[in-house]
Amino acid sequence: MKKQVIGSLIVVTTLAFISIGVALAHGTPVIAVQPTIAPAGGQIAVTGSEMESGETFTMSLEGASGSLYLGTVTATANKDQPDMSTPQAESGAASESGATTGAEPEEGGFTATYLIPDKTPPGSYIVKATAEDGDATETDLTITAASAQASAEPAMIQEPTGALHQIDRSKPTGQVVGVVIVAITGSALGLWLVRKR
Amino acid sequence: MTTSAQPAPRPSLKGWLNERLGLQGLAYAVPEHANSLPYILGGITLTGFAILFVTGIYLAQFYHPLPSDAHQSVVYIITSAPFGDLIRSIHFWTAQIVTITLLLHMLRVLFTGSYKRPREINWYVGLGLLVITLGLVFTGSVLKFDQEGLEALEHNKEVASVIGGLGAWFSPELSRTIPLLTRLFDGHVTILPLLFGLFIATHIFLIKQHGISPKVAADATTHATAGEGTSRFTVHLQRMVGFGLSLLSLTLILSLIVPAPVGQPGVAGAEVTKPWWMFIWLFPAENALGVKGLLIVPAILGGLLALVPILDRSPYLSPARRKALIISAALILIVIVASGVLSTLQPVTGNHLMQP
Repeated sequence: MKKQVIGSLIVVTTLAFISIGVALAHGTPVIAVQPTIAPAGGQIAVTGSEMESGETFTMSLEGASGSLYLGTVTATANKDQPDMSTPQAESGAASESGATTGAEPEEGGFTATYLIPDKTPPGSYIVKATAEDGDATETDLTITAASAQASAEPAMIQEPTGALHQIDRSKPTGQVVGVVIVAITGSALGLWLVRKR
Repeated sequence: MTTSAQPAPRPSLKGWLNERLGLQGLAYAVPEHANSLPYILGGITLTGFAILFVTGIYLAQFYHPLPSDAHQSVVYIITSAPFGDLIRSIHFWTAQIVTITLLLHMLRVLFTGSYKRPREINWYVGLGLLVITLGLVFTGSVLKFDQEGLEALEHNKEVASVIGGLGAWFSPELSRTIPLLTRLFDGHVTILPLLFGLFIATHIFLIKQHGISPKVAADATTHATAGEGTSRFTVHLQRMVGFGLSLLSLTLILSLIVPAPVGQPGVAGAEVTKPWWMFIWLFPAENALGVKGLLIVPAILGGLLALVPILDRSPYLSPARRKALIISAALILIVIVASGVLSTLQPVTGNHLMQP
């Protein structure tokens, strides 16, 4: 009896995993971007999967400042997918990874590289792949300033006038006095505890 | 016939607490040398962690763990959150000091042979605590998401890609919807503190079981000392709190004089900063071996530390009777310190990061 129960559990668990596997194989299209944090003027690689071979997607970059058309890309059957070393495209344009293959809809995907325009403002963006039927899939991308602007200097803040200046780290007199009093009291109490027998 | 009922004496606060909390149980015997500074470094580190937990909880109320908002929220903490700059600076300086006291504690244990039987497992628990602490320091340095933080994050991603499946948690591919920065924040405030809690509880339990290791003398040998000694653990605890208060005072003054740094927002694909002193000694390894050096060298060092109780199995505690191990450890320490000093003095010239 016990063996039958264990056997049933194994069968049910196996079936559950099989159903998950089937669901994953025919899931909705997904895209991923590499790197997930990229500089303006840098290059990103977008990988699509769980797609029907031959399906065409319009790629765009969407942020608070608006939407930027990147290009179109067509999914190919998995076995035909090229590697990541596709030629670099013009700024803002896609380097598509192959053409439509086969009449039967097979599972497919794509890899496409894009250049982020130099003047893209830093911030949070969405890379969006929109299919011909209007269904869309997206992934997050953070764009930083251009690499040339990297600096090890302290942070600056911007005034409403647009002027930049270093953050004022000075403390109010009351806070300084309070901190010094707490520090002196703490060290005196600490010293007393250390020396007390 | 009259009976006069005597009113029960009013208990003191100490007596009241003792009755309910069993605090008198803390007054167990410990050796006198357990109250000296070298043997109290672990306790000082623990009080430092208490400060880190409290200040960390405060900072988490204002921090946004998203790549697009993280740096701006740190600037907000500094400029607008009540006492934000001060609390963040206390957090920063305590982390620096705690790392130093932890390393000194480990060196004291190494020097005095406190890892020897029956304390071998506690040595490994201590190594775990070292790894957790460095993990907390690393993730903390990334969270501010300035240039130094972003470069640390990119190194993190590269190292994760080198170790393949083992680095899955540290890889952006693990979750398509949650950024790696957010997951590192989760690690900093949940996973690592939880692990710290488990490890420190084990560490303290094992110290209680075996007692403080015997005082080092020419012929002193290792043995359990639980229940031995002329002093009391309450004295040890009192000195621990005393040093802890002094540590807090020191961090307060440091926070006023040198507030915790924050650089300009991170720019991907560039390397113009250096990591914190805990990691900068790895620069030459990275120059020589690439990103793999960031894995290989710490792995070798960790392996050597793990081998210590296995290789040094004599019962003697005196460093004079353990010359080979002490000299080897000293040489490795000198190499690490020299490597760190040289890397600090060198300009940032190499770009080890993969360009996006």
